[in-house]
Amino acid sequence: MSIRIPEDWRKAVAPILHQGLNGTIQMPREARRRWLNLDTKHYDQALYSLLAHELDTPGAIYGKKHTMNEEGECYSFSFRYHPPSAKGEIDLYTKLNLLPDGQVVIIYSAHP
Amino acid sequence: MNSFTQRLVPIEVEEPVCIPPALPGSEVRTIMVKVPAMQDPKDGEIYLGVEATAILDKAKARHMGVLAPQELAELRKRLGLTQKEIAEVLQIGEKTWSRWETGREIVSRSLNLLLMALYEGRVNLPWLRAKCFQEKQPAPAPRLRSRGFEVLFQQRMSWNTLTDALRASRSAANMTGMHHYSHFAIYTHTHAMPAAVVSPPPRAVAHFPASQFSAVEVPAECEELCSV
Repeated sequence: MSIRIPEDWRKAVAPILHQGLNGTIQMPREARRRWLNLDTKHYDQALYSLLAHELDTPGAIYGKKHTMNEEGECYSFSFRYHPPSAKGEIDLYTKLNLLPDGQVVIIYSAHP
Repeated sequence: MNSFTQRLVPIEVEEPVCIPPALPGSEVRTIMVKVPAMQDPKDGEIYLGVEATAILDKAKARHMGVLAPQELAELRKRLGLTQKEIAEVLQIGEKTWSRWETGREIVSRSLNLLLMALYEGRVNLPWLRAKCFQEKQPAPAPRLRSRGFEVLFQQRMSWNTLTDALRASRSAANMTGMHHYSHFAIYTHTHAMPAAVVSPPPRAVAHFPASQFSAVEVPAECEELCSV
């Protein structure tokens, strides 16, 4: 069931992604490769600013809450993204986990 | 039980980096790059962090011969400019610069040449700003005014014409007994001699060695004239 992603969570996750400090963002290898395969004309780090921008954009974001093996508060949602090589926008699915310390984000997914 | 971050073990892995084709029709290349990573002993999952991302992006940029997003951000900060300001100087949209700096798009090859020159200190910000200023102003007609001794030169003027005009300006100043220039502007637009705008205050011209002129190699004879 779709729920509205809490503003507090968005406000905590966006700056971590935006700042991109060492040790604050982790991404499973497989998830990174799926992002890589989406388009050759963007960089790995583009994902951080893309997700941060999406979370910062005013308006409700609807998604799902997940319970992962790793502790924390995890939500998934989809948004429109225009890859540099593509002719139009695509739906990009992402799943992010904010660890209990509020300092680290795990990006489990970022793919169409 | 240890938390997620506490139980991660540092390791090193090889990751693929896709290099887009330089020319239409050529193929995407994939290179392997060694990066630091973290492994969760609980399930064996390997995680890549910000440090790995920076290395992978830099490798990609190197193979394409362009500046990496981090280098673009570093360059902008070194110049003390906001994204809006650097976009203005480069005469591109602010969003375009933002997409390059955040890695959402790869910098265009043609502009990358200029950015490389800027990054390596071969051209500087005053030079770029002068070019930007020239673009925005209508090209001034060649003229020489004795009153106030303002010398304005049209773009693409040769150095010979320039030095002749400087001589005439100096002689006009001497004739009226005023040995200073109220405003001194040199505009050129050739490959050999990039543009410069020099506006020293009156009598300060003599304290302006040619070496301080922004990105300009001023010929000896011009230097002499500038030292009036």
